[in-house]
Amino acid sequence: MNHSREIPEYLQDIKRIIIDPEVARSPLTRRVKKRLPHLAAHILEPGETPDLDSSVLYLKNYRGKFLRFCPGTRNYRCCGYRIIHVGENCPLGCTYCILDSYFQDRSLKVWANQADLFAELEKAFRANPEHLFRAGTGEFTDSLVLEPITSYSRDLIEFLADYPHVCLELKSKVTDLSWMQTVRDPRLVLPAWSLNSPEISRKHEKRAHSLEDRLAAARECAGNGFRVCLHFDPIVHYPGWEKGYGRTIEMIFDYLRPEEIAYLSLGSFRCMPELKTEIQNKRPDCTFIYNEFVTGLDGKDRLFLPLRLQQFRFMVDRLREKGLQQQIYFCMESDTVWKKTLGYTPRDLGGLDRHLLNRAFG
Amino acid sequence: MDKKNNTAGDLIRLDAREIDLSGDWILWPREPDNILLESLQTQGQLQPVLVQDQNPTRLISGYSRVLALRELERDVLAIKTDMAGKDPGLVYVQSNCGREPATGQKIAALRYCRRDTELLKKMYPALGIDASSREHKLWEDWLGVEEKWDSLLSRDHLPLRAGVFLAKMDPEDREVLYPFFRKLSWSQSNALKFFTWLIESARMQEGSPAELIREKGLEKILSEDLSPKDATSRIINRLYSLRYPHVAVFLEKKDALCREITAGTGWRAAHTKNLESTELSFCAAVNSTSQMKKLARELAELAESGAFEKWLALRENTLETGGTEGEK
Repeated sequence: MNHSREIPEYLQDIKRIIIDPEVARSPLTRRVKKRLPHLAAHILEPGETPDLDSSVLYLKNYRGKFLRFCPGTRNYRCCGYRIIHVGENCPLGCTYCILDSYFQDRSLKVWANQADLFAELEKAFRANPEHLFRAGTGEFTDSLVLEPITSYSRDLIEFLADYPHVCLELKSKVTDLSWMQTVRDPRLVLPAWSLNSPEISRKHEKRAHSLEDRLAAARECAGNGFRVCLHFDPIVHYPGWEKGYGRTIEMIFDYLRPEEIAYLSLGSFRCMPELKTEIQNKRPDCTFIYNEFVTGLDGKDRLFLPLRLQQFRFMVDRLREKGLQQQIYFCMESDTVWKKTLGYTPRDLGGLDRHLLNRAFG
Repeated sequence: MDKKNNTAGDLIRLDAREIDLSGDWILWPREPDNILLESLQTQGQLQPVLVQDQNPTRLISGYSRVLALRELERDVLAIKTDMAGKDPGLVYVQSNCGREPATGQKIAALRYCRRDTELLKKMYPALGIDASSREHKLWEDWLGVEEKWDSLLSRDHLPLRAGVFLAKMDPEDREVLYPFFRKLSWSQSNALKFFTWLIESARMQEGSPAELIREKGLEKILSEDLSPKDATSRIINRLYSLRYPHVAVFLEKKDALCREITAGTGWRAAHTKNLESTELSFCAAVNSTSQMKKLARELAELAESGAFEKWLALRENTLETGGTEGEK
């Protein structure tokens, strides 16, 4: 596992740092410049428009909302996760990544006005001390991918140590564990890893750490008193998917015991139609985008429901055989899917949001 | 005739028979029609033609007028043009582009420039095609396709957008596709479905469009005794079944069921949510109160007859079996 601050390969494409003038002297900016001393840092003039592409790390004075609701839709069951918005985009470049069609440019953006972030979080969390929060940073970026140069997760963990009603999920495809030594109460941090079949991971998550490394990191966390979360998302339908996903499920339990897993989500590949064009251009050899996708109730392309059910049934059965029960949930699926695979609906659990809060704080 | 001692820009009279019309830059040659002949006979030649400032006198622009004046045995009023540093094809197009050129005319002009990229850049605006426009991009793609396809495009057998797909294909794939467009004329919508579903099905099976067509015998549809409309429809349906095998089977069953449960009534049933929802919509057109009452009775009878339960059973069956009868 990486506990050091070497610059990993997936961050080597960063060639320039652009900084908003308001955050030119912020602690986070100073830290980044110190860790990337070889890179030119340009502080924007007031009113100057930055020239942004994937080689840019943009330290931004963010003016939007830092604490957000997950953008779920009413037609499918959302897990009620709260997003702590710390930045945008990811350097891992996974083929299926929705961020490609989500943001205007591919620069790595980090909100460097952390004082504003912490002020907003403090206001929200202090106002509701009885309310449990399950929050995370892995929605618009990978929670740990920039950790070697920003230590953002470490800062957030230090800040949240004063809020025992907030559980922080760090969702990633890399194995940076440098934040771990900062944690005072491991029950309040949920390290989480996205998983996929070995074939999909090898072909479409080329810059991410291997499945074995991710699971080894999860085991190390479990060994240090953390419970971990796992996310099969996106599940892809391809010839031989049963073997592939079956293999990954086997691997999970080579590294973890069921009780070490707080929860595990299943989400089928879904996307706004524009992403298909992005993927076609970026990866002409990618075939899974030609699956039988239909327009779902949220306007996104989804695998035809009978085929989704086939995959979900298979995975739920395997996971149950291995001892997972109420840890399993679906990301953005209907009651039909829940009922036909798990045998119950989120309502039977008292609502998915509440159920996962119970699991997170359990 | 007044051929001697004239310089470029001079208006001269020429014997129509002595003008050479063989230049390959005469891109849009057209026989004179009766309107032109009558106009020249009654009004005389109102506009001079353009000729090259050299011997023999070669026509740059004004083909129909010269032919008409030959037929009328009259002299031709011409302007001598110094063509040094100019391309006669570009001058021809610029002097003939009063109206929006037809597709075939654009093809001829663009193909004329095929070996000269600088000339091609000048030809686009002469044809009224802006360099930043979508049409410009579409023509760039089309020029990557063999010239034998041009006549099919001119005759509207396929849309210009087809070039986006054709240009990316291997020559062998294009060769296999050619009969589909030579024999049938495709609307833009059907042509785009044809290419999209064919190419995506082939990619999904990690093969080529040509292989898929041969493997599935799609070319046989062209030799069946079908009307063009039925033939395109059959090809499109076959391609949809290849591209969406499970969905196609479900849609067929669903449509049959919707027809069955509303047969003999004024209602039409439909489901548009691709199984993501159980909702079925019933609709009917009404133009009188009595008809409305009749429809209300029919709807009540439909509810009593278990029509909705039949739909739920079909949905359930599809979800359980995965609609596995689909073709792959």
